[in-house]
Order: sequence, then structure tokens, then C-alpha cells
Amino acid sequence: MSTLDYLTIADAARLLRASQLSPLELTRHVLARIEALDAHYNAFLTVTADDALAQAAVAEAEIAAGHYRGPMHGIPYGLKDLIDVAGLATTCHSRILADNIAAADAHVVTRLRDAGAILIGKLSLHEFGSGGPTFDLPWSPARNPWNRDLHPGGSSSGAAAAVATGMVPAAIGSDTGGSVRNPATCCGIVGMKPTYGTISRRGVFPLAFSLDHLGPMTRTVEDNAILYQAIAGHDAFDPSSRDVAVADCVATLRDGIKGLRIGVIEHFYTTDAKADDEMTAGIDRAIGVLTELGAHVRTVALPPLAQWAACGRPIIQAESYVVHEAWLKQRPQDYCEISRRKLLAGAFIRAEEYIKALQARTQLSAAFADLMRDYDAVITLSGLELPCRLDDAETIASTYERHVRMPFNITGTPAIAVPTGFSRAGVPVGMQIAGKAFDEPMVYRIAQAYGEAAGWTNHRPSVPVG
Amino acid sequence: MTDDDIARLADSVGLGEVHARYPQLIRAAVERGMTASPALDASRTATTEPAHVLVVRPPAP
Repeated sequence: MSTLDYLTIADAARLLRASQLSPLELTRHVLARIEALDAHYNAFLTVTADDALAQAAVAEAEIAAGHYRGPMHGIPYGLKDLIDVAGLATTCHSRILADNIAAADAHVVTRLRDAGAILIGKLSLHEFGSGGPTFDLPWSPARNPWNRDLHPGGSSSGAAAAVATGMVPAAIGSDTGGSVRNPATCCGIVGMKPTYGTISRRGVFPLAFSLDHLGPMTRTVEDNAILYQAIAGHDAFDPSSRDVAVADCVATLRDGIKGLRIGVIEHFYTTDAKADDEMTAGIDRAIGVLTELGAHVRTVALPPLAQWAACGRPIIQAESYVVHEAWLKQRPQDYCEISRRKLLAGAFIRAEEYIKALQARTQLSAAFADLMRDYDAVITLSGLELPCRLDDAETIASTYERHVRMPFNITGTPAIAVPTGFSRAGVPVGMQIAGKAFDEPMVYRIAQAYGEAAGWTNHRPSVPVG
Repeated sequence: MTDDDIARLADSVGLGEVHARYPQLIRAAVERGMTASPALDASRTATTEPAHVLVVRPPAP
């Protein structure tokens, strides 16, 4: 195994800045690893090798000339293929958009170009962030790095698989009802859904505009904070973007958690919905670690999980149907079966149901804000079940009906998925740490303290080469 | 709901041709949509606020 295989962003940045590692060397290594591994995991839809090498050559020259831009300079990354890059196809993993060439970069891509990061390629997903995993599309679904027969989670499946296998140190996913956090948990990496409006969605294909978030996916918490810092910030051309100063999440990472008040939303995964015992064991271990680190951990209560699901479902269905209505009527056969089933449901959501859901959203968000007056953060599970077989469509569909991620899309508040260990069969388990709106520094700080103490982000899947 | 009910509902939202091609899918979509309101009404029983008092705020926190 090469020392570059699982190099973190933080370590690579130190080496790149000191000219002890060349951006070209790192980029060539990443491209060779993708060449060797991707056929086993189907993480990439497009690999932009020539452009990546050209960007790396520029980064090398800039760093050599003393123009170091910051910790993403010379760092390779991948993009979920619903994010535009000028001149490349944004397929959304769908026949519908197979030839959809983007005219301009998404804002997040511009930010990463400005930071000197190296785009390596576009990553597979569930069709339009909704329909998958499935075998009735032109591209095969991504596979779980810990067991290729298993579902890697979705919809940012390729992003999680690529990061977990060391094909890239970082990726940008999107999260409407958990699509960053679910694959992060299934693949044993770190996935952040930040506060709504902190990362611009200009140039990103929508699923449900009022729930959509972009989020960084990395192997460590520190890397996640570094990537978040590079892409967060106001965009005057995205109406959902918030003009709020981005707090420094990296500076406070290692401030510790002694004395912090952390709530455990236990009823979500015990009485509201019964989680797999191995998932519960993971968060129980984490509660022990957080307590040992000096946090005051208490069980707390929010409205039942069913209310959050009842609120989120019609919002996703109604908002996504508006995006897809014309295509569903004109070329339904070009969608995968799962997308047709999920998206068509929006045709039968009545206006009063959508409004009722928005009313419920106001109430639920207020309940969360009330709770957070007394707590610095809360934790709960991410998924309720271990990943099932990739070809078990029925079980996968049921897991998307039963999870604990939607509450934080409804509130629009930050939530990060971190690993809490492994099942007896060697599959990752995980939890979420969630905070107040715009308090990403607190979420990262707790995740960092927990991650360092628990050490689960240091584990690597067994891959065919490397 | 009868097949005719489903067909009329599909027609009413411009999905008549899609229904003809995927009748089971449209039935499932209708049935899925029909669960939205009862679930939301069940949630609303948790509050004492009548519907006309409940407000909708923008999605951003």
C-alpha cells in the first residue's frame, strides 16, 4: 500500500505547502488508483484525467512560485454528477440528461477552482438523487467498499465509495433527506449536511428546493471542516444562499468538549422506530466516549419521528414533481422504475397537503429550536438498519421510508454523520451529531473530539489492489 | 379506489397516457399521495393551534 493511498487533506496540504509532495504526483497517484479500482466499485461516471493533470501542473507551478492558496490547493476531489462543470455532462445518472453539457461551473466548483483544488471527475448517484440503486440505467450502481454485494447508501453513492476506497480524499454530495449522511454511514466515512443556505446550490440540479443541501464527504472530520470552509459562503446569485459570515470551523476543531451539553434523541431509534441492535450498540458506545471526554450527555425528546416523516415526504414529492413533470409525461420510459414510482407520487399531492406540510415544518423547527436553547448539540442515529444487499430493491425501499435523517433537512440545521464502529459482519455503523443553525463549528468540534477518541475513521476497507 | 377512479384521477393531472402505460405505478402513486393528508392531520392533533393560526415560515433557519 502506498503512503498516498489514504492521505488526508490535512496531511497532504502540509506536504504540498512544504513542496515535499507535488500536486502532479498526488494527482497521478489518484488517477492510477481510480484506474485500478473503479471497475470494482462503479464510483465514477466521468474521470477528467487530462484536465486534472493540467490543473495539477498549474498548482505545482503556483506553489513552487510561493503562491500557496490554502489547504485545498493541489487536493484532488470528485463531484456528485448533479453539479455542473462547464463543458462536462451533468447526467444526474439519468438517460434524460445523458447529453446535458453544462455551460458554466456551479458556484461550488468556482470556489474550489479558486482554492486551487483539482477536479478528478463526476461521481455516480441514484437517478436525480432519488431513483436507486438500480440496474435499469446505462451506468451500474456504486458498490459498498466494505462488501461489494451491499448497498453503499444513497443518493451520493459514488462519492462515498470513492472516498472510502481512497480513490479521492474528498467529494461533494447533496442531501435532501439524508443523501450525504446515509452513504457516509454505510461506507464508514464522514458526511456533513450543513445549514440550509450556507453552500450555494447555483449550478446544482435540484431534487426539492427547500430541502436540498450540498455537503462535503471525507474520511476524517478535520478534512471535512477544511473542505466545508473552502465552499461555504454567500452567493448573490442563489436566492437560497444566506449572507451570513462563515465561522472558522477549523480553528476551533480541537477545543475539546468538556462541559458541553449534548442531548441524545433516543426515542427516534428506540420507541418511534426500532433500530438494528448493532446500530444502537454503536451510538451507545459513542455516548460513553462523549461522557468520558467530559460532555454532559442527557436523553432529550422531540416530536415523534413519524411527524417528521409525514412532514418531509409531501414536501419532497411535491417539489420534485414540479421539476420532473414535463419529462414524466413525455418520456416516462427514460426514467428507472424507482424514479418513476417515487416522482409520480408528487402528481397526487394536493396543494393543501403541501401547505399543511409547510405548517408542520414551522412547528417542528420551532420544537427543535426550543430544545437547542438548552443544548450545544444533539446526537441520534443516522440509519436504522445495516446496509442490505445491493440487489434487494424491496429492503432498500423500506430503509428509505425508515430513517432518522429527514428531521435536519426539515429544520435546515447542520448534521454530520460519523462512524461509530462496525457490525459483527464488518459493515460500518454510524450516528449523527446535529447543532443549531449556522453553528457548524460546534458540530465539527464535537465530531472531531469523538472521532479522535474513538478512532473509527482510521479503518480501511480491503480493496482488490493498493 | 376502482381502476376507473384511478384513470380519471390520472387524466385530471395530465397523466392519462402514462397511466395507460404504467397502470400499477399510477395506482401506487395515487395511494401513496393519499397517505399524506392523514399523516399530517395526525401530526396536527399534537398542537392546540387551529389551522388558521398556523403559519408557514420560509425554509431557511
